[in-house]
Amino acid sequence: MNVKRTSKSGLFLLELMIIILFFSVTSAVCANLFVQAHQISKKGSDLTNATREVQSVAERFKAVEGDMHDLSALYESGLVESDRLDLFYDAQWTPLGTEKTDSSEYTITVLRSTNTEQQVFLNALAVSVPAAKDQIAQAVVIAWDQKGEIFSVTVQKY
Amino acid sequence: MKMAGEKRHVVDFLFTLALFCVFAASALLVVIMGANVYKSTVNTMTDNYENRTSLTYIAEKIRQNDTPGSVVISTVEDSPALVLRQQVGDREYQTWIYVYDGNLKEILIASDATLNPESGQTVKEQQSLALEQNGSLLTVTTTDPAGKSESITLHVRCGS
Repeated sequence: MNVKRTSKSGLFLLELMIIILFFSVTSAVCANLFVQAHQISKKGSDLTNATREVQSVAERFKAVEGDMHDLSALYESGLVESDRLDLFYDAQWTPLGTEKTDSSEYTITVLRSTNTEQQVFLNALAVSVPAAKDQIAQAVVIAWDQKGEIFSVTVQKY
Repeated sequence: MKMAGEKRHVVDFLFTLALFCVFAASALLVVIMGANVYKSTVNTMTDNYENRTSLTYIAEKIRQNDTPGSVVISTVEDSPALVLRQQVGDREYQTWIYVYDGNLKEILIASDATLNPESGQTVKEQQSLALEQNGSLLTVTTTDPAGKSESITLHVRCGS
């Protein structure tokens, strides 16, 4: 009699363990999909915000006709490098100015073209800046973060 | 012997019950995780739509009419409005883009006609619209129904 009771409990326990095994495999797959879905969603949000902000910076570059000093003045900052301007944003794409802070998560960099083609390194990201043609002010405006490039445009002002 | 058997039976039952409870709790946790991810994704999609649509629409309207003297900032019942002038034949028309009664609206009227804000075609829900011109730079700021504001700056070839 006792053997039968033990056998019934044992069978149920074995069935439950097999169920839990399959559930573990399935939930691991689902958790992986959830993480991927969240990352794709965040990537889409970053692209939307980056597109908007890069467009605004490019329009300002055209408004100052490619003068980097005037462009930095629009952002109330002094220009450190004559052909480069960095603008920092936090996780919600709120502008933080031209000085990097602890809450900086995204960067928009304006790289003005010179007479020769250049290769500029933004952390691990290599950006090719084409040479400027005569009577054209040209720049590469790129939004990037630690993972790499988010969005970039090449803006020209004739 | 019987009492020992009964004790084992109770322990077996409790262990199995505890294992079942762990399984049920884990299943519930996975469902909650999935619901949270779905909610977050939908919220992000909604924010992207609110963020992108109004500003892109206004930016494209301005670029289509970017000729000298054709983009003007005005007001509709104390709210900022964008006026785009265009000449059709020998008559001048104006496209007014403004926020009225919680909606972004657009209306095309003749220059000598009186604007009725209610007659505008609703584009989307919008809380407010702000326009600021600084030389050739026009900054458009929109606030969605949730109160979140975004702005875009455009270089216009025409002045106000």
